[in-house]
This record gives sequence, C-alpha cells and structure tokens, in this order.
Amino acid sequence: MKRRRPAVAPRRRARPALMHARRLVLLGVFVLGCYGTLLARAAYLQAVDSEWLQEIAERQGRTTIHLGPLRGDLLDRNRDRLALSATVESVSASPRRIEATEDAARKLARILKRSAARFRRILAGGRSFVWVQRWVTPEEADRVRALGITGVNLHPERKRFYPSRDLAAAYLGFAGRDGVGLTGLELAFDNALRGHPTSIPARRDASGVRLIRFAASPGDRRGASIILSLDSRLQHVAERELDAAIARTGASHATLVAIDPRTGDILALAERPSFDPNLFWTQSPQAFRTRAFVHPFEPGSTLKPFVIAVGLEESAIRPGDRLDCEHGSWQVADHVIRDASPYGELSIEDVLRVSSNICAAKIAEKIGSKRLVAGLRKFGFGRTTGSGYPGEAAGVVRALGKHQVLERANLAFGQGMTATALQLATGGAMLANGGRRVWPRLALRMESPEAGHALDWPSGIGERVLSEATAGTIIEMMEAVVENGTGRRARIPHYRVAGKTGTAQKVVDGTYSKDRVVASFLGIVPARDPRLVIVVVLDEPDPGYGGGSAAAPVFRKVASFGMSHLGRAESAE
Amino acid sequence: MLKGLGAPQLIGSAAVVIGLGLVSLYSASAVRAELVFGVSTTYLLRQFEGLAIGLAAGTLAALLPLGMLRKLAFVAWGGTTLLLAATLTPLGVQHHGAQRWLGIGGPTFQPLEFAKLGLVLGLARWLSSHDKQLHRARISLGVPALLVSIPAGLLLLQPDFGGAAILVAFTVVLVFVAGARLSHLAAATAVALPSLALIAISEPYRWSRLRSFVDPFADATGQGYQLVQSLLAFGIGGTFGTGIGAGQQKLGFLPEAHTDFILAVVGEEMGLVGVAGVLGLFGLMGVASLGIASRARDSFSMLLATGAGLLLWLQGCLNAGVAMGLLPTKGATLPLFSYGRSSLVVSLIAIGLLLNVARPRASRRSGWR
Repeated sequence: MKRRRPAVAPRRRARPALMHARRLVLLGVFVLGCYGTLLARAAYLQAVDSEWLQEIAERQGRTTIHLGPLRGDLLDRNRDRLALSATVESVSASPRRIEATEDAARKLARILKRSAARFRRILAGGRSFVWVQRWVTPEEADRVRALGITGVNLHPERKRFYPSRDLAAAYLGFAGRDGVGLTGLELAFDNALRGHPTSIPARRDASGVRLIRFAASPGDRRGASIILSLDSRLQHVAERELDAAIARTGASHATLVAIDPRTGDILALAERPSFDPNLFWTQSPQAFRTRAFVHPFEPGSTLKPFVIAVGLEESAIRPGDRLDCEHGSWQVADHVIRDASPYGELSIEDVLRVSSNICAAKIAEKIGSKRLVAGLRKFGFGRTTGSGYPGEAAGVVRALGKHQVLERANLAFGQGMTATALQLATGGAMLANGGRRVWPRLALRMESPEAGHALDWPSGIGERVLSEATAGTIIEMMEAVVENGTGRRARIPHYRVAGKTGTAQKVVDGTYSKDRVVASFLGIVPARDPRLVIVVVLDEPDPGYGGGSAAAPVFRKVASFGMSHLGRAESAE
Repeated sequence: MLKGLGAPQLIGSAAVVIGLGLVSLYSASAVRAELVFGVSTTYLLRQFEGLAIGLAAGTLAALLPLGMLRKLAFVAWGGTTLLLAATLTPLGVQHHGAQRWLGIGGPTFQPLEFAKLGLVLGLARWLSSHDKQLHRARISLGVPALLVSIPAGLLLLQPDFGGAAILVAFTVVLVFVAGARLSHLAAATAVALPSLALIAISEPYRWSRLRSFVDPFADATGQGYQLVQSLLAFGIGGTFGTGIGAGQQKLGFLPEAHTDFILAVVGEEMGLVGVAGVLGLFGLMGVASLGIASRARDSFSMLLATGAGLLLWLQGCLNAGVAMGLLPTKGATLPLFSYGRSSLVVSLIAIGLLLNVARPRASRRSGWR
C-alpha cells in the first residue's frame, strides 16, 4: 500500500455528475436513515414506553374536585323546609398570577358592588390563594367568569339556606360555611345531614385551573333529610306571641316549649329575641343559645305540682288533707317564709290554686328531704332529658342533709334548684299523659335519599313514673289554678286547661331580688286527654309582672291556636 | 433510487404537510391564543398570513431565472448576514433572553430563517463556480467555512447555538454533495466537533441543557421539564392518539407547543399513526428534493435544490429529534408546521426553488459547467 495517490483522483474529476449522483444517493440513504430512526423512536415512545409515560402524565393532568355533599334538609312535621342546601359559587384568586391587579380590582368591584380598595387589598401581596368573595349570586358569578381574568377563579360551594329566616333559629342552629353543623339541631343531626363528600375526577391545566364545570358532575350526593317534630305554624304563633309579650312586659328574653305529651314531640320551641341564621356571622352569639335546653333557672312555684305529686305518690299527703298556712308567715330554721297573701287552713287543691309557699313547705316537710329529692328526680329534674340536643343542661337538684330544713322548704316552691324550660315541659307531659316518662322527640324521621330508606324515631314515652290516679289528681288541681286561681289568664274558651304559674325571684348579688323575676307558666290542654303541654318563661319582665300576668296570656294565645290548628277541638263540659 | 421522485411527490407531500400543520397548529395554539389574546384563532390567522406571503414568495422563487438567482447569490448571502447582524443592534427584539428577532414596530421576523436561505445560495454559488477545484481544501472547505462562520458567529452572539449548528450542518452537507474529498471532510470534522463541544460546554446554561437531555427525568420540573412534557405527550398519544384537539399537554404543560414542540401535539392527538405520517411525508419531501437535485442540469441548480431540500428535511429531522429526545433541546422549527411566519415563508420559498430547478426547460441545455 505504498502506492502514492495522485493529487487528484482522475475518476472523480472526469465524471463529476456521476460523483454527485452517488453522493446524492448516499444523502438519500442518510435521509431515510434519519427518518427511520425517528420513526423507531416514535414507535418506542408511543407503543413501548406509552403506558409508563401515560401514568406520569395522568398524575399531572388529573385532579379531583372534592365537593362537600349537599347537606340534607331540615323539614318540619308537615314537610315544610326549614333548612336546605344549594350549590353556589365563590370567587377566589391567585394574586401572584394576576398581571393587572389594579384593573382586576376595579372590574371586580364593579361586579361585586364593593369598593375597589377592598379588592386591591385582597389581591395585594402575591399570595397563591385568597377568597375574593364567597357565595356570590349566579349573575355575579357569570359576569366574573366573563371577565376571564387569569388568576381569578370560581369555585362551586354549598350554601345553607334558612328560608324562614329567624323562625326557630336558635333551636335549628346553623351550619357553617363549610357545610358543617355548628349549633342546635344542625349540630345534633350533623352526621346524618352531612352525608359523604363527593369526589369528581377532573382535568386541570398546568396552572391548576380545573376544566370541568361542577354542573356536569355526576351523582350529586346528598345527606339525609331530617323531618322534625316541630310544627312551623305553631312555632310561628309562639314566636309572635313571645314578641308581643316582650313588648308588653319588657322581658329581656322569652322562651316557649310546646310538647305533645302522648309522644314527646317538640311541637314548638321558641326563643326570642332571635336572629337570622342566613347571616349568622353578623349576629351576636348570645342569641344562638337555645335557652330552653341550655339555660337552667329557678322555676319557683311552677315546680309545686311536682312536689304535691311526690307527696301524693309517697302517701305523705292525701288529696282531702287540709293544711294550716300560718296566715302568711312561717319561721323555718332562722328564716321566715312568706306567702303573697295570708291564708289560714287550705285544702291541698287550694294550696296549689293560690300557690302558698308556706303550705308547700309543710308538704315538703311531710314528704321528707330524701323522698322529695328522689321524687323530683323521677320527673327528670336534675338530669338531662336525653334529647341529644347539644349542650343540654341537667339543672341542679341537690341531695339534702337531715338538717337542711330551710333548703327543703325552699325546694318546695322551686328555689335552691334549677330546671330548664324543657324539663318543666317534659315533667308536665308526664303529669298530662297519665304518669309515663317522656323523652323529648326532636325528629320523627330520617330519610336518606341514596339508599332510599328511612328511619323512624320511636315515640318518647317510657315507663310509668307515677300512678295514673296521682297524675289525674294533679291535673284536676291544676285545672282549678286556671279556673279560679293564679292562672286565670290562661283560660281558653271551650277548653279545659290545667296550669301552674311561677314567679321566681332572681338571685342578685347573693340575695333574692324583689324586682327581677322569672315569670313562668306551665299549661296543659285539654285537661282531659291532653294534647299540648306548654311552658312559657319570661326573663325579667318589668316589676309587677308575674307568671299569671305575663306568661299565662302567652300560653292562652298559643294553646288556643294550637288546639284549633292541631284539629283536636274538644269542647268543654 | 432517486428516479421517479420529483416535483409531484414534493408538491403532494408539502400540501398534505401544510394542511396537517394548520390543523395541528390550531389545536396546539387555540387555548394559548384564547388566554393571551382572548381569541382562539389569533395564531392560526397569523399563520394564514404567512402562508399567503409564502405562496407568493415561493411562486416568485419558482419563476425567477436560475441564472439571475445565481448572480444574486452572494448578494443574498450578504443581505441575510446583515439582517442577522442587525438583530444585535437596537433593532433587535429580545425574547426569552436571546435577541433573535427583528422588527420595527409591527410584526417581527426571524433573520435566521432567511440566513439559511442566503447561506444555501452563497454556498451553491461558490461551490458550483469552483467545482473543478474542489480537491483543494482551501476551495472546498476554507471559503465555505468563511461563508458559514460569519452568520454562525453572529448567531452565537445572539446567542443561538442551535441556529449556528444548523448552518454548519447545512454547509457540511452541501460541501459533501458538491464533491469535496472525504479525507478533507473528515479532517474538518475532526477539528470542528471538539470546538463545537467546547462552545457547547462553555456556557453553563448550554451544559445543563445537555445534561438534562441525557436524562430529562432526573430534573423533570427544572431543566428537563420541556422534554419530559414532550415525551409525555407522545406517550399519552399511544398508537391512535387522543383525538385532534383533545390533548392535555398543550394546556400549559408543554411550553412552545405551537412552535418547536408541535410534533408532540401531533403525537398526543394523532398518535403514532399521525407521527409516522408526518415523518413519512418529511422523508418523502427529502428524497423528492434529492431526486430533483439529481436531475438538475448544472451544479448550481443541483446544490441549490439540495440546499433547499435541507431546509425541509434536515430541519424537520432536527426538530423531530429534539421533540422526541434524540437531540439536545434546540429551537428548530418544524417546517410548514410550526407557528412562525418567517419559517413558513422561507420553507415555501425553498419549495419554490426546488420546483424552479425541477421545471423543464425547453431552451438552452447548458449541462454541467
């Protein structure tokens, strides 16, 4: 191979066209080689590696929209909707992605009818997520969507509506912005109402914007609906009358509980003043308290029917017994008990009718501390009713020692112990239904839409707590109270009404105040075959008002409406 | 092998590619256009503008006498090189940190595309004028090296390493076809490759790009992001694709989906079938251009046809290689496909030049000079 190559290859020089042709063919082979390689690469990516790549892509392109389920409805016993949920949209923003903040703030302000300064403040600071405005109207949502500002998004959210506004607001309670029951029945039945969250698979783009509108979401799941025992019409009348009573008597607060003694159904549970749960965040939390459940107070004389019932049941007294009422003044230990008016010798019925504290204390003495406390507890005082209502109070009925004679005397007329309006009502219902235990029944039925099945709550009537005879005797005595005693203003034409008034002095600075009282009334109608037990409590009416003058008229109005409304007209004898 | 391949195959495949390109461009750019301009068709309409201008320019290129083109070849080279230089002046428009565009006020254009054309003309002129002396390295390598290094140097200043590399590749192919001695080419390559490598690693950003090319998934959210997203698009597409318009990668995941990575959108939405079709058409355009070149009546026409063909198939090859992770990420458009009026106009001019060379000439059979 030592042959010296010529400086120029003669073959190539002689036939340049041939050489070009050969090189062009070589280039053609190169072209095909290149594209063959590319094709092989494409086949590898799209056939062999495809699954693996898809898996990765899946992860970045998929997102899940978590929708709180549509909360179930709260319905009254006539299936009127008291609370319902709907899907509404909220405006959020990713300020760091908004290019023209000032422009965006101005446009949002125009649509959402707030100051541009407010939105400028919200959109400042380059955060990645802020709420611009929650729960906007559909029109506002559409207009914000039409703006198409990058970084301003709309989110479907669930909102709770209370179409009856302040009706039974405290009792119903409300659900917060995240659809979780916060107070009242919304909290009590939260698990059932809430249901299970819905997850909708959706696509998203690189900036996280979801590409599925919630309207297209499949299977809008709902929580169960609860049919309450409440009767919203009776409730409405109760609230109207409480408002009137507050206006008339100057009471700071008024409560009414209406219960069906045959079932324990809570037909009305009114707290005034009330609030609008649709705007709960603007309201004073003080108004959220369902005092009938959570606020025990000294009931005063309203407790006397129960004390006498215990006396009869324990055979400490007999219906025909007569007692010396000491002409209005009786010393117990180092304390003097007084009656509103002085009385001499009274029958048991009259003791209740005129509401003598002295004779009630004598009855308590006959019963004895131990049996009295045990008897009252049998009626449910001193323990919760078992309603399951959030924050229900038990009240206080203390065990009494041998020498606590003054405390025992006070207990006889409802002092030194506390009870809730609900306890008085359930206790009254036990007298009214012939002596059987009553648990308040808040709801009648739970209907879960998914499974299509429903659950009925059993009625709240339990074991016998006192004899039918004693219960009947007490009801008769309470009829006399309304017929010809302190509760005359509770009389309802054509109905026999049983009732008991209470005017309990409030403890102010450690002593019982003369001016500040709790006026209450426990009423039962019709006295024979009772249908309604109503407790009315007025807190701190103006001086001079008591259970008979302030609370009994509320009972009369509500109960007379209730009787006609509930369609159980029962003519008087 | 190149027999029977010529103008009909070129026109046919180019027409199909342009049609598929417009469909893919609309799919790839509609969401972005909607976001940026509020109208989904903005990019599509601009591409139609380019198509109209390009068809006019291409027709002109097809009708001009080749002799005139030959005479003006160095002027074209000089003019396009000046345009490249102008990008470095205040006339240049900066995008993504590189000054690659030219524009006063209104629409911008990319001189690189025209510089490729100018280089092809200049090289074809030089090499055809000296085809008797190509055995001398000074003629076959020296002057072409000069012709390429000036625009390539300007590109490196922009900086646009990829553009410079493409110009060098064009030069190597044309010199090869022109008939330079293989030993000279080998020697030149032995010198050029290390220096290219040196340039490649001299800038940290180029080096990290190269590294991410080797294993894009190692830094899938950083340097490797774009390539990973492109590969994902191909993977999602599978054999038949998600359907035109139904892809997800163009929704902001894949940057430059409507320009340099439009083949990934084709891969996602039309699947392997679509990608194979597009690649096949580009390959066909490539061999058709070589067929035209092989029947050229003189060496200028032959080199011009070969060079114009490069604008289609070599460019397409580089773009596809980048999109599929076979080549380091570089900003090369897919001719007739990617969004970009400059690229579309130049591609159509290239086709026009090929048709010009292929045009049967009744008069004056000049033959090889």
